[in-house]
Amino acid sequence: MNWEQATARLGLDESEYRELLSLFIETGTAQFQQLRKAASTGDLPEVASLAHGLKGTAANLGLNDIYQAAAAIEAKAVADNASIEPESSRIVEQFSLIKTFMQAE
Amino acid sequence: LGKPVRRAKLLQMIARLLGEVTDDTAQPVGDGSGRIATQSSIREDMTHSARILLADDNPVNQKLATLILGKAGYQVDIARTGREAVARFTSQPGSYDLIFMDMQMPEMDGMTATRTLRRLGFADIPIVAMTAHAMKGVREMCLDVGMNDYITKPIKREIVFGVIDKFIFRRKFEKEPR
Repeated sequence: MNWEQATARLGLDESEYRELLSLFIETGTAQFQQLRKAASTGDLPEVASLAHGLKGTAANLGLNDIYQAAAAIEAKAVADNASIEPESSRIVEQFSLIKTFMQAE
Repeated sequence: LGKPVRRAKLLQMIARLLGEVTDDTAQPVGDGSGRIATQSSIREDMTHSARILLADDNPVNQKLATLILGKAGYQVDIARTGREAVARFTSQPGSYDLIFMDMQMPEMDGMTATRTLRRLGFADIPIVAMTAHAMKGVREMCLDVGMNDYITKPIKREIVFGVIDKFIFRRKFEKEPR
């Protein structure tokens, strides 16, 4: 995670960025649960829509791994593929990495 | 210039009268009170009187835009759906200078909201799409429904301010070719 690059692009300081990250964890976790649920019931339009939202927010915050994973899930859902692995596991990993980062400093 | 004259509109006109001078020291104009109005002081006043409506359902994006725009001195109102954006704008159409519109929102998406506002006769309010789509054709899609421009996520501060400059300060609308 390169927060210096993201804060420079957005013109924010570190504390503002951290505030956004914690809001991202809080709201993103719930959205991601919804995404998994939609995938398990085969609701592909919902999967695509939720992945699209996650992709945009991750992009804004410079969270590249989550952005890539969400983009891949969206592309698969649009192409009628209900599989959200291995991207889903990568997103879980990234969420926990961010939480660790938030607690570390 | 119709009445009541909004401060931002008036300042826009003054800025236009001052010309497209970028050098702050050039052509200072006195306002009779001893205060010197320059391009940069007018611009600052315009910033503080400019009000932006942001339509986005995601709390992170809302917070991000509020931080970036708020720090720069703009007033920002939030709508969480396209429907809310239409309701907010139509209840006080004179008080907004620009709408940033997320494309994908629950209840009503940004394209439908834009089309609705244009059909209601609000032709002048600049509407700029925000989208995570990098694909071709997005520009055409946006312009087709009556948006003036679009920006892609990740949003960049300079690009956001560039759009504001283009549509609020210079007020150069991209009218459909006839």
